[in-house]
Amino acid sequence: MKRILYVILILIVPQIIVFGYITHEEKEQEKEMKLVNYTMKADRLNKKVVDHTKFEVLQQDFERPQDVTLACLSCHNERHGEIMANNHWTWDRNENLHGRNEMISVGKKNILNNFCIGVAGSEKTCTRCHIGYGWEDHSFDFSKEENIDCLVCHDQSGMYEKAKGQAGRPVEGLNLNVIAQSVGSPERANCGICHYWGGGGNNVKHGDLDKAMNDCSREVDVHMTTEGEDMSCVECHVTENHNITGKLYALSSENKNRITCAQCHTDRPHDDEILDNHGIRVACQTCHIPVYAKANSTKMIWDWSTAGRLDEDGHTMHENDADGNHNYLSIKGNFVYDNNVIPEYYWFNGLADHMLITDSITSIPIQMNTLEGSYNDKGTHCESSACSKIWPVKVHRGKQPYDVVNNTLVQPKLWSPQKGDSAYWLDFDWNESIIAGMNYLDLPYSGEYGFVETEMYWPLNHQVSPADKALKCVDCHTNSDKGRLAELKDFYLPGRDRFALIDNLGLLLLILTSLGVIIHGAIRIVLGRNCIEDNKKS
Amino acid sequence: MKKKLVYILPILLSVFIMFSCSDHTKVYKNAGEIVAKKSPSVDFIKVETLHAMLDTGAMVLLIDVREANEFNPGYIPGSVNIPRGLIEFKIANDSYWEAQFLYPPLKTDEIILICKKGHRSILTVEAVKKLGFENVKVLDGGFKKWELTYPLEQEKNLDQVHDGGGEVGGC
Repeated sequence: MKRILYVILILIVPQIIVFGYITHEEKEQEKEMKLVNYTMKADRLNKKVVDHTKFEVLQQDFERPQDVTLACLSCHNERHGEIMANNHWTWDRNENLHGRNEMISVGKKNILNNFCIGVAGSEKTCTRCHIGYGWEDHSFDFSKEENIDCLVCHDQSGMYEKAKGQAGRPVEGLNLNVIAQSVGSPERANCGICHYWGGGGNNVKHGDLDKAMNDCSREVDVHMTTEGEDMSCVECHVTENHNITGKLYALSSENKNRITCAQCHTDRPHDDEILDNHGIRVACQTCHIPVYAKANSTKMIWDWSTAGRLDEDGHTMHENDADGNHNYLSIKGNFVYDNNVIPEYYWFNGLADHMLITDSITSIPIQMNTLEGSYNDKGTHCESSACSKIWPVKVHRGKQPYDVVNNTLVQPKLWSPQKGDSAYWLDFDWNESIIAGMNYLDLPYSGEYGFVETEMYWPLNHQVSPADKALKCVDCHTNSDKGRLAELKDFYLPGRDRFALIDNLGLLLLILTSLGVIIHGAIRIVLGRNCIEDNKKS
Repeated sequence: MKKKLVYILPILLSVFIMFSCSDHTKVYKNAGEIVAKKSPSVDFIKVETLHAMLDTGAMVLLIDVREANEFNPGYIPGSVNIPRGLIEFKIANDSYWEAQFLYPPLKTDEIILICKKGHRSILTVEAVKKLGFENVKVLDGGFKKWELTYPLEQEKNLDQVHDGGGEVGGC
């Protein structure tokens, strides 16, 4: 009986222990997060420091939105200067484009993209997202302070809305008195009304800026979630004197005025030296934004060459995909949308070049913006203030009109309030719309157009996932063709790449070691001797 | 004999315990885990390979296992729509294929399963193989990967798509 108990103890108990260990799910210990320059929501003192309903100047029935601006400036009497120096006002800035060694004017005003192509000639609809009133064409007065639209950023009533096709003016019938008294620091919805809707629809352009982020789960955005920190945009894009930090990587050529994860999380945020060291060559976003377009789809492909198809009655057409996103529009052509998209990965050092409308086409697909960087851009060879890191990027691929003789991209006129004005969206005549657009810019056009493939790169920064959803080691360190970095081939990545000679030498060493042990043991058995016993005897 | 039992009984007991803890009782946390578990045993075909096969007129049966409301707005030319929930009931049902004016597939025919991104197809392979079809593959990345690679090469059943909206868009 005793023997049975012994055997059971020896055989069963270890199995139970092993089984218990394997199936035991370790509860995640709440780790204290390393944070600097940030006060957690729970620790904040939310005290309103000003109540705009009590200001007499705002207690009037405003006839024009410009009158609200003048009322604002009657107290904030130097703010217009800050606004007028801001890119949100100018849609323009002088930047030193990488590789060109000259200052060039770039901005929404004149840079082409592969979505709606560009604003020139169609300002009256595009400037719905300008922080001003009345930018219809070249004649807009950028020095007139009453043209500043304070409300689009500061309205907290939720009632303010800019009208479609009205050059940034608000819709008619708004109660500007109530709206003006509601003003406060910009919330997500204020920034989102333009930044979510870039490219003509929600989440179309960026892929990581989506109206769902006004009220989202932790899985969609761990910073902005209403279940957690509920952060507004300006908590990262820290703003003083209307100088908003954090420039759009896709449109900003110089590596300046950026914001980084490290400004709150430090550059050693993990309790793990190996992970922290990854930060030297891997952007935080690479692991912590494993997918984007989590709540709503984003546009991945836009083919303008198929636009203009009308039904048998001459009416415009639209077709949707299985998720309800546009797949075809007569005015815009074919699209492909996708959601929960795995990013593409590139080396990037914060510098970018842009395809200007005056540049000759030298390669296809045209890179509308070129992200600079490479594996060798490191250490003393750094091309910018920051060495290249691996970044997650949304790549938007398109096909858009170009001048086949002059070999340049073109700017078609897309929008007009009425037919017969050469606007493509009403007249469906590419040649006429390009003539009108290029005339508007005073640029040459040969009269012959074609369509050319383009790519535009959007480094991802938002929709950061919770830590437990971040990429794991094997997502990159694998030789599977589905590995995240399978296409980034210009460097040695452990677990993905192998040197056959070193691998074979290691294998040989293992075999020789095993043989040594076997031969050694065999000799001892054959000789019938045991070192320990021999030592004891001696 | 008694002495032998002393050793045999605990060993049998331990074998019993080991098997009772085997994978058969594993409960997965989510669909992603099941897909990851099944993936290694599935044969995949890339969209580029399928495209080349279709170009050469290869005899291949494309079964799109998405629901009809997902299939009708866009599908790979030549696909047959059998939603995943009906696959066992239709794929080996001769009258179904007759109604489609198609020959029923032979057990040795190459069958390629298509869904939105490939996950549903992975979960469908086992059901199709259980009915004796030997050569079953999954389109890697599904219809979405096809659409991203060949955006204009798709068919649509627009007459079966319900859409109440008019022209939309613009900036």
